[in-house]
Amino acid sequence: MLERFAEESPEPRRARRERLAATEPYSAAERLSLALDAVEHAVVETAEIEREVVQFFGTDSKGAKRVIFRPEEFEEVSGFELHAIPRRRLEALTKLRQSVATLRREIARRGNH
Amino acid sequence: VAITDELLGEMAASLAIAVDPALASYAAASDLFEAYVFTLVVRAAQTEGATVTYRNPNGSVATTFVFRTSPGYIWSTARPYTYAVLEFPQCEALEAHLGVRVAGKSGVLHEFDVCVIRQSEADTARQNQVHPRSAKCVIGVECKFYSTPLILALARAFIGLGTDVSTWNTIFVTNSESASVEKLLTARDRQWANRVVPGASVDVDRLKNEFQSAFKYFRAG
Repeated sequence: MLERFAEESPEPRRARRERLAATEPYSAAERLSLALDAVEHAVVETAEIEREVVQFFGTDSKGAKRVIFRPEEFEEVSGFELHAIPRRRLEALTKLRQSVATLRREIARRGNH
Repeated sequence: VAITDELLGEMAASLAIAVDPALASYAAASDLFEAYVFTLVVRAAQTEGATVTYRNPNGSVATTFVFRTSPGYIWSTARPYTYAVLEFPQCEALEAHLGVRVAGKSGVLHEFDVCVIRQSEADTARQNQVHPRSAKCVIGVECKFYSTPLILALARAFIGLGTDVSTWNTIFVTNSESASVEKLLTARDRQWANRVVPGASVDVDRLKNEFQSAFKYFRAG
């Protein structure tokens, strides 16, 4: 039995289209959009979660009202305690949410032109 | 341009007030997210008819809710860490915990950010200072709170976790999203929930329903 090697292949090789991976920098609009995503996740959503947790343990429970987060070991980070969000902070969060929405609309509007 | 500059100025001013310095770190936000998912588990149990009480490690009723900021042992008495006792009629009681270590099939310890354990297993673990077995967990949740899209390595790690734990319902839960993470977890038949934040009611309800289903099958089993 004869062994056949690639060089002896009877079919001619097809020319293959070269594919190259490249990295392109984000546009200004994309960078702003990513920054807005981060602000929403890190600030707005964190505050919404904070409010939900405070409400849950403040109203859905019997007796206990304080909510404390503590490390098991005594570490440098001592933990934190949750409180109802002050009105001034709630108002700032509302304004921030509105600013983010407005900027998103602005990005979309400019992208369409 | 002027409008955008004005908006950015307003944003900067709002940001300065909107951020609570105590919660500004990534770690604090992650802890908070885990507590939020814990509340969804408890709500799901209540919807399915469970009576819920909150306890300290010594079994007394919790008067302050204390939650872990780092993984720990269920028997730890370093702090009075709170857990929820979920009691369904005519069923063995369950316990919902935050950040406890459980033993996988290999004997290696894994951390579930949120888990629901059979109370008999939890009692044995506390009394004998042994780790609860993952097979005795009804729900195990891996929480990921990210301000950016998730990286694929998180899905790979979760798939690896799934090969060593025998928990009925092991769920990957995130506030963020990523098409590649969702595709990989789906292809590997892993449960996941994305966009889990209070404003996304459809996504939150879907996850709560997953927890409710887990309780339904537990009650029937």
